[in-house]
Amino acid sequence: MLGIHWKPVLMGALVVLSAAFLGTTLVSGADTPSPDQAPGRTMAQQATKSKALWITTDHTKIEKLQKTFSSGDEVTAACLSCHSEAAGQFHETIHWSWMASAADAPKRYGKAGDSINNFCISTNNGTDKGCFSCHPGWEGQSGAINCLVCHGQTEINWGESFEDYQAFAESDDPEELEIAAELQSSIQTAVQSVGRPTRQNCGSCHFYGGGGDGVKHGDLDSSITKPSKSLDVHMGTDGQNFTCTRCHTTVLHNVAGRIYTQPAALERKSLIEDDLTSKITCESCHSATPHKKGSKANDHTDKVACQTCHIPTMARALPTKMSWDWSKAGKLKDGKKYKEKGELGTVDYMTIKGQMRWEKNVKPEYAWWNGSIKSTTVKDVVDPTQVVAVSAPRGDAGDGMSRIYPFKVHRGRQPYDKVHKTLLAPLLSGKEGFWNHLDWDRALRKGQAALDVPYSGEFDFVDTTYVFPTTHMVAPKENVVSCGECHTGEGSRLAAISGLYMPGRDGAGVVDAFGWIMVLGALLGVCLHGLGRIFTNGNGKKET
Amino acid sequence: MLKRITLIAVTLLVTLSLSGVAVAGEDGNKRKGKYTYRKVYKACNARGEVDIAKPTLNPDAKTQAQWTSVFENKEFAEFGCQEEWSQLSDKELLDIYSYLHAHASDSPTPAKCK
Amino acid sequence: MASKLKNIYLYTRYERFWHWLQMALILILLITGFEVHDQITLLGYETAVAVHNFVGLTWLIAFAFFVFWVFTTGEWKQYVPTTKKMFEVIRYYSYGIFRGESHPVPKRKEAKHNPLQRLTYLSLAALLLPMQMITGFLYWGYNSWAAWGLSDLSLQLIAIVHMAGAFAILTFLIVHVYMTTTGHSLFAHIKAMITGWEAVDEQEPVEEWEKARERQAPVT
Repeated sequence: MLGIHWKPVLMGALVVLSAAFLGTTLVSGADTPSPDQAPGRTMAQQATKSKALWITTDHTKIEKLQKTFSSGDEVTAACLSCHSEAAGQFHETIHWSWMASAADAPKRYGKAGDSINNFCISTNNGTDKGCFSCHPGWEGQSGAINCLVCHGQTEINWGESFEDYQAFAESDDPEELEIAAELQSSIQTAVQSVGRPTRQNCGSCHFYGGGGDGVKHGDLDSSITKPSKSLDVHMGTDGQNFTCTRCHTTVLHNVAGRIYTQPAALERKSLIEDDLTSKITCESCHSATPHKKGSKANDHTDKVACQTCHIPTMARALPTKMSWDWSKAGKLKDGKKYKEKGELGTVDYMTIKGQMRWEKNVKPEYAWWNGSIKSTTVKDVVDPTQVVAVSAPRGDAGDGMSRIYPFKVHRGRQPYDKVHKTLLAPLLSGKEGFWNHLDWDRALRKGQAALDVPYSGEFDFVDTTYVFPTTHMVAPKENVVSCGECHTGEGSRLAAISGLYMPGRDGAGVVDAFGWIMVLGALLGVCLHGLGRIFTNGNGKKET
Repeated sequence: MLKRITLIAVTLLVTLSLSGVAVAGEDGNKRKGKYTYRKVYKACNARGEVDIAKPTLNPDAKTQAQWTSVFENKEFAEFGCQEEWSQLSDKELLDIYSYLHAHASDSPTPAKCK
Repeated sequence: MASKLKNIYLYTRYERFWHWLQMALILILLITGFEVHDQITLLGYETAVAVHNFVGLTWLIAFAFFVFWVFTTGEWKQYVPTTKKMFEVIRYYSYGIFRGESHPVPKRKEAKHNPLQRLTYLSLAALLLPMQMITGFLYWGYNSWAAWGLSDLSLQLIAIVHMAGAFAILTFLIVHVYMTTTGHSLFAHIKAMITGWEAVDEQEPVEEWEKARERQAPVT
């Protein structure tokens, strides 16, 4: 037979081919420097390996910083005497103006504009002075820039120091003069210790957005000041120890990042494609296919953002505020304002703020996102019969730009105008504010007037949502979201995501039902047939 | 000279107040009191009794009435650092009292040790 | 009716190897496939996907060798469908078998498959399995669709067809395994697929229409 000659050859070939196939599949990525490491990781490590900063100026030796400072403005003047362009640059940024972009006109997005949220709602055109504790100026928006908010490396209470210094310096009490000298010494030390912004600098405002630690962001709170690697692989002090500006790269005092409707990056580019691109995206350093060659995860990067798998939960160290019901504000106990603490040690009820809910280890909610956030202003008409999205991610499955992204969704209940169908911006702090007199109508009149928007006098409360893209607190790779947490029919993290077929999550409808009926039918059929053979003593029994 | 007289008057008043008469709270130098209060804990920390060189009790830890009671009865055990507390003059105590009283939890400006 | 049995060498070495290899591959594919479709939980989703992809591609390559074999050896003729004696075979399995009758179309070297088997195996080898491989391959290559010019293809459609195929294969498997017990003894057919030797009734002649080799008319 002819077959005799080639059959073993054929079988041999099959075995060899199978083995070769097995080999290429399992031992892939052998061309990378370290076979155990994903190429995207190696790339990022190379992009950031030079950690030592080299600085050519020691500010303690600068003569202009040796003088006596009795006010913040004097400090700013000293800074600008060398850094001549800094103020001009900084005044153009959102950090100073609190306005998003002139290109948004006629919309005025920004804290200082018409934007609102479902936390403390609005700054009322800067009328609410309480908000300015986070403005980087010495006195509100009119004074000089306090460069040391971002560049100071020593913790100091500027307002108190200058106020007390001025008071004591005038005194003829030697003890008070001694205190004044001590204060001046600590002021000088603080002025002379300047540098690039640290996590502490940025965090002094961004960790406390919304009026407290972890109120606004689920992925930014004071635990990030000195995080462990397990809380944040990039910023972990026992790991890379990144500062914020490592990724939020800065040009002319413009810090990279999303600004209201404007995406943080317009293109997804790595440093290989453009070595001067900002490092604001994961892809900048990690590339679009960061996982090991042949890894299924690389096939996901066109539809799923890195954050979706790599941030399994947020608020892992400290709780974050998840809801805020303003309609419950105003209750008194024994005729007095009060507050109540909850299980997590957080303030869950406050007369002046209402009912609040905090959570730890929060699983994000997911949505298609193209990088832009739809933002609502005090002038936008809303539909109060539904939950109003004060901010919401833009994008959908079909636009070719969007990816599935994790969000913290903060749910609020806040005042709206029943006649004009707009969200309302009450004035909160100060003598005329709600927090003082607990009179909604009065606070709303003041707040709306400050914004120069109409208020009918009729208000009620409406349920709202506000979203925060979750991008910090990236977990170590051992803790990533497993495939099965999304690819499952029950309790999938991506249960709400539409516009694509997801294996494991999505069934095959009637095919599944008919399929199982067919399989069970076949089983039943052969059982009956077999029983029939046993009972009739038919074939298969006779001869054995 | 006027200042000296005032000082004597104040000292007298303090002695009176602290021996039973209700203190009003406005008589001491609260700004100075704040630094005296802080200095107690700096010294105490240097001596090694406390780990942190900052006061353990903030002004908003008590109401104005409670602070008055503490200083009237000289119940300073709660503050710790007895060695430093015992060395404070009546003037210094009045300053501290004024500071704490001015920023008590039911004051118009409740404060932590800023 | 029962008569003397004769052992014949029915399945060649490659054929047996192929049968059992394919069995193993299909079994693994079924188990992991149902896990990927969230019908069972066993290995964990990630492992199930990896195993399913690897075994699926292995099957694809191995199947190419089978196609080569089936054509070069002329074994393809064993799969040519016929309606002759089809009724008798159906009648046998639904009636005669219970009465202890002999199979109307016993196995022969030249005719391993009865008309029912011919039809079943042809559908399987020529339709169901290729369909499963094609949909499986497309499913696997989902991320390359744009590069392959298949952007308009629906993943859901591919997935549903692939699932329908899986159910059909599982159904076949159940009946197929059961049918192996209908030989002269419960394990006779299985033994034959392991050793290659099948015991058949001696005197049953091979009918002309069944013969594979003789139909190989040389072209002149």
